[in-house]
Parts: sequence; C-alpha cells; structure tokens
Amino acid sequence: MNTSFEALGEMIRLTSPFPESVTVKAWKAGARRVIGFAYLALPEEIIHAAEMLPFRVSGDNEPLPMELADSQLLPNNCSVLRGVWQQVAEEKYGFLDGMVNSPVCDGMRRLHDNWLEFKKLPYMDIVYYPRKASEDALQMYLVDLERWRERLSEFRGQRIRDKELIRSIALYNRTRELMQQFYELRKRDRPPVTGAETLEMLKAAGRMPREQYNELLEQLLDEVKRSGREIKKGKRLMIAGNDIHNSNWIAAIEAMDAVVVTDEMNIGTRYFWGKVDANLPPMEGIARHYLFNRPQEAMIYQTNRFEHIFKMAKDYKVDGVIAEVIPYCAPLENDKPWLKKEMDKRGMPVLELELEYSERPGGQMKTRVEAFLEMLHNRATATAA
Amino acid sequence: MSATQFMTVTDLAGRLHMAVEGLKKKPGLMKSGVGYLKLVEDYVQAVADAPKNGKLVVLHGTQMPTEIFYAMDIVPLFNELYSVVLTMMGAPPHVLYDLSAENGLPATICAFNRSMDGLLLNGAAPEVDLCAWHGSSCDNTPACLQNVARTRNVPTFFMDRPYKIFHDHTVAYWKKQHEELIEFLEIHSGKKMDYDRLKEAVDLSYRCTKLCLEIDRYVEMVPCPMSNEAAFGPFLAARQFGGHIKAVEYLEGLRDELKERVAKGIVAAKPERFRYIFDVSCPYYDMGLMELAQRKYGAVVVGDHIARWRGTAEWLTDPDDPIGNLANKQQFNLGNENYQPGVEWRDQVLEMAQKTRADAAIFFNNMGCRTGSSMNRILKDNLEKKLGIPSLVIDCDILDPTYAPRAATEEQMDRFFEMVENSAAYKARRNLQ
Repeated sequence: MNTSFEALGEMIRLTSPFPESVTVKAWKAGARRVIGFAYLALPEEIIHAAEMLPFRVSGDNEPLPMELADSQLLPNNCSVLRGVWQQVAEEKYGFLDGMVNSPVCDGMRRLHDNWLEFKKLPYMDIVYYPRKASEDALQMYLVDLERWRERLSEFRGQRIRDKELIRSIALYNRTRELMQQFYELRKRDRPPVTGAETLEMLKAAGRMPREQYNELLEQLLDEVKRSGREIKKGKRLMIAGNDIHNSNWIAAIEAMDAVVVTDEMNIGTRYFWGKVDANLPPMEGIARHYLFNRPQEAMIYQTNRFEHIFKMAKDYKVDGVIAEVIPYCAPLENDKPWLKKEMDKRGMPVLELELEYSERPGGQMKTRVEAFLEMLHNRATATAA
Repeated sequence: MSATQFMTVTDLAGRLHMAVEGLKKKPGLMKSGVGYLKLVEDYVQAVADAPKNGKLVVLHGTQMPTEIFYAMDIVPLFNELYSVVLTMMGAPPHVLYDLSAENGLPATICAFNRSMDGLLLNGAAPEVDLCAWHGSSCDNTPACLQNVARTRNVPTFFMDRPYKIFHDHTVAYWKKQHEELIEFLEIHSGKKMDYDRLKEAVDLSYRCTKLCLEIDRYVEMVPCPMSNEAAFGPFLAARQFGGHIKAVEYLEGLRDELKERVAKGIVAAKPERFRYIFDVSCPYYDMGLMELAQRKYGAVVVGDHIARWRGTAEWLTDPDDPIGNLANKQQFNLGNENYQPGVEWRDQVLEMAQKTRADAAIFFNNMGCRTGSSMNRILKDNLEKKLGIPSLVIDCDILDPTYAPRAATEEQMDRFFEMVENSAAYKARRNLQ
C-alpha cells in the first residue's frame, strides 16, 4: 500500500513480507523467540514481559488460496480459521516458537487443536477468557492468567518478574494512548487519515517489537498532525464486525465518495480502549483491563455491544455503519438481525455485508457500498429539504 | 405462513401420542424403543400442560442442570430437542428456515437456531417464561437462547462454563454459577429451593448416570443386543430427565430388556457385519438411516460420542453437597468434550471405538455446526491411523431431510460399507484373512 506518511511507510516496510517479515527475521537472528496469538483479548503484555515477540496470527492484503485448508477443515468453518490454517499448512508460520490462543469461539478453539495435533510448536497454550464480566469471573481469570504466566516462565527458563510486567504495561498503555490520539484526529470533519492507512497502522502493532512500534507511532502521529491533510469525502463510515486484515477492502470502499472514520473491531477500537490501571498489582491490573475495560463483543452474552456501536457512531459523526460478517462466524451472524434492528430503531443506517476473509474485494461488494452511499446521499438531501 | 398452519406444542404432543400408539403395534421392536418415544411424548406434554398446571417453563440450552429445574417444579424445554421432535413428527423445517432468512438470520448458522427463530416469527414457538443457557458446547446454542430471550423479552440467565473444568478454581466458579442460577429461578418463580428435594433429584440423576454406564456395557457386547430404535434412549433420559424418576424407570427397563435379550440370544442384526459409531451426532433429520443400516448392511450403531459419559463418571462425591455434585457432573457429562480441548475429545472417541469394537465411524456434518467440522480431520486421522477405522462424512442439515436425500446417502453408505468390508483392518479384526 502507498502512503505519504514516512512513519507508516516504515511500519509497512518493517512488517513485510508477511508474515515472516524483515523484523521477524532480525528478531530471530538475535536468537529470540516469537509467540503467536490470534485472539486480541489475550494479554500480549505477558508475552512481551517474557522478552518474546508477540505476533498476531492473521491474513494480510493478499488473497489466500484455500486448497490446503479445505483438505484439513471442512468448508463450513469460517474463512478466518481456514485462512490461518492455509498459511500454517504452507509452513508460513514456521518461525513461531509457540502459539497461545483463547477458546472464545469454535474457530479459535479448534485452530489451537488442529495446530497442536498436526503442527505442534515447542510451546502451545490456551487460556480461557470469561464470557461474563463479573468479580467472580475476574478471580478465575486471574488464576488462569497467573498459571499461564508460570507456564510461559517455564518455557523461558526464568520467571516473568513483576517489574518486567510493569514495564510492559507501561509500553502497551503508551500504545493505547497514542492510538486513542490517532483516532481522535479521525473525529475531525475532514479527517487527515484514511481507514486503509489506519488499518495498516493497527496491523503493525501485532507484528513488531513494541518499543520500536511506539517510536514509529509517535512519529506517525506527529507527521499526521503536521501534515495539514484533509480528506474531503462525502460520507463518513464506520466498520463493525469481524476483524479485517486486508486494507484493500477498506481502500476499495474509500475509492468511492466515503472515508472510514472508525470501527468496532478487535484489531481496532477494542484493542486500545481504556488502559491498564498501573496502580494495581500488575497481573490484577491486566486481568481487570481485559475483562472490564474493553468494549464487550458478541462472545459476551447479554452484551452492551449495540449500545457501544451506536455511541461510537455518534461520537465519530458517522453517516452509516457497514456491518460486515464473515460466513460461519456464529456469534456475529446471530447478532446480525439484532444489530440491524437496534440501529434502525436509532435511525442509524446500516449496510450488511458478507465478507470472505481470504478474498480480494469483489464487484458485488463495491456495487452494494455504492448503492448504500447513494442512499445516504438521498437521505441527507431529503433531510435538508 | 400463519400460526394455525404450523404445529403448536399441543399439536405436537397429540402427534407424539399417536406415534407412540402406532409404534406399540409395530412388531419386532424393542419395548424400550416405544418407551423412548413415550418419554418424548411426556416431555412435550409437560410443556403443553404447564400453563394450566400453573408451572413455569424454562427454555434451556445443552447440558444444563435439569435437576435444579425438576427440584423447583419448573418445566424444562431444551430448544434443540424441540426442533428435532418437530422434524421427526413431520414438520417441514425449510418453512421455518425461510422465515428466519427473511428476518435476516444467515443460512450458514445452525439448523436449531434457524428453526427456533422461524417458530418465533411464525408464532408457533411454545410459550416460555424464562431462558437459561451456558457457554457449552458451541457458539450457536447460547446465541439461539439469547435470540429467544430478546424476542420474547423474558428473564434470562447465562452460566459461564469454564473451558478447562478439571481445576479446583474453575469447579468453584462453576459451582457458584449453579448457585446464581438457583437465585435467578427463586426470584422469578417466587419459590425457594427445597434443598432436600434437590438432593433427591441429584441422587436420581447419579443413579441415571450409573444405569447409562451399565447399559453401555451391554451395547459393547459382540454381537450387540441393542437395536437402533432404542439406541438413543439413554441419551434422551440422561439429558432431558436428569433428576427425574422417569429417567431411572426408563433406564432400568432398558437395562432389564437388554439383559433378557442377551439371555435369549436376541441381537440387533443377524449376522452383525459391522459395528459403527457416530463421532458427533446422529442423523436427526432421518433416523430411519440407522434402521436401514441395520437391515441392509447388518450395521449396528454401538456408540455416539455425544451420548457417552466420561470414564466412570463418579461425579457424586459429597452426598450432602448437591450443588457441588452438579458442578462436578459437568466434568463427566455426556459429550462435554465438545467444549473441551480437542485432545480430550479425540481420546474419548478413540476409547469409545476400542471399547465398542467399532469397525467404522460415520460423521454427520451438520452444515451449520463448526464445533464438529473443525474436529473432523483430527478424529478421522486418529481413528484411521491408530485403530484402522475408516470414517464416512455425510454433509447434512441436521433437521432438514431435503438437504441430504435418502437415496444419495444410501449410495454413500453402500460404497462406504463395501470399502470397510474390503479393508485389511476389518478383515484382521474379524479374522477373515
């Protein structure tokens, strides 16, 4: 992807080619370990504190062929799971020393199981993330996280110390602050960055050492602020739903008369929402943050997800929400009609879009977004009249 | 479609009654096959009668502690069972699917959700007062219950079931979830839990577990005395009647019938050419497939992973702590490995295949279900490589017989059993070389 921001260009350069990038090779050259993770409610701080590189396992901007995945996993599994598995089967994740996941959905649970069964790494782990945000759940989660810390310490050959955790928390909190500032700029009537650029910035967070990333993010923020750039597009959109890692999808939307100004994705706003309370003992601070601070999602039952989406849409002054779902993602698919009803009730236009994670943006998607933008335009004209 | 055109709970109870009477007249069936359907009739009738009996109905998901509902005189209704029974009694699920799709629910989600969604939209869903579910064993089950709760605007309770349940701290959390469920039910029923009654229900449930294990030993016999029409009786009794005397009575009857059949040398298929297992679920959309397999190929179903207790299932550890016992029960519950780390599921299927001396495995791949489809390769490879047991995958919709028509499935089964029969592992197992 081309960008006029030097720091973003550097992030992209350092994290290419995906997944075994320049950065990963340099890291491994120093005899250091890389631990994969797929679900973003898994505290990366703990991996970082163990002096290992947390690497977010995902797809990227290129379409993924699915032949190997389809021979392993039946096609009625989501394309996120199959897309990751395709890369595993192609040995693209051979650089990982370990993989840790959370059984938050059928796909994530079985990604771990298949990996363990067929491509076992030296370190494999799975940590439960509670489906209820309560004090009882917190106590259980805290024990689970402490035990994970012990197992990871054992793999490291040295206990992960509190002071290491405290340092990691500070670094990750700094990322959260910077990302929050970055998103604040997108609230401007004419935002200085596109949604596609933002996604590239977000992806890099899970692919490089946090110290290096924060430096580049500070530079990027500074560059954006100084650029005086104003994106003049007719409509402001929000993306809600499954994580997208292919910025071409967003670029295709933004090639029309629209700019994406915010999102409700794990890789996006949910990733940097709030901060770990640094005044608490480090593990408790981490557990409380991940359980209570992050906006709730479809996997949490009796969630406040719809309210949160609507509030964010108002804050970012969006004209419409693109609610995308990857087929066979049961939690989001089941939410789909309810999200539409709730947004309709609040007068917020929604375009429901089905995406295949592994594919490039197609003509059908473009036509539907175009029609949605036209509807938004007509709506605005009617309101003005 | 209007509500009058679709089967209501009263219609369904009526049809079940007629089916039971019809089955009684059919020669050659196990008594417990009729008893199985009678249990289903009683179950649905209790739901139909609940309003006039002044009882609350709780719609619940898989593996919920029915003992608590029975002890509080609340009528349980398992959403999946209701959809299955409707289909078995001839209701066309695709009508419900169409309604659900019109309302925005994608066609890629589980048949049970789409069917229940259709019933709600159609107005033919049974009246329920409460909803309760837990995070086991897949993403779709809780979502379905949440959908019902939102549509009907009824009070709901969600039990957060930890993933790795064999630890003290997770069992303690899980026990607390049971206590909170009781509090929830007390608030909404206006009745206090009678703990002596709960203890009785838990004792009955444990007796039911032990009877299921006893019955498993009969099923493991070669040749197998259990005929397909009663094969899923223990599952139904333990899942839906856990904590009710009916489960114990039914299972004692089934156990005694099997004992008698063994004594008299009565077997399911003569000759018994194949013994097969299901590694996720049986074909609810066409249960006649099992009868076909038994008659046409001499293939007897000897195990379904989802209907199997873990190990010796000794979950009643403290007679004076009924809630603690129920929390323990989940560790051993029928098919709960679906929600456990895959290695546990794999190992249990391997153990079941060995104990039942299975020759083959059939995997009904319900298109809306991920939890099985993402495990299939692990199970298939292990069965094949470690035990020389081949697997057949049949893509289906678990409720809709039009998705996988009988003729096409029969052709698949023809080829499969022929392949099994010619395999070296089969010949070695049967001393045919």
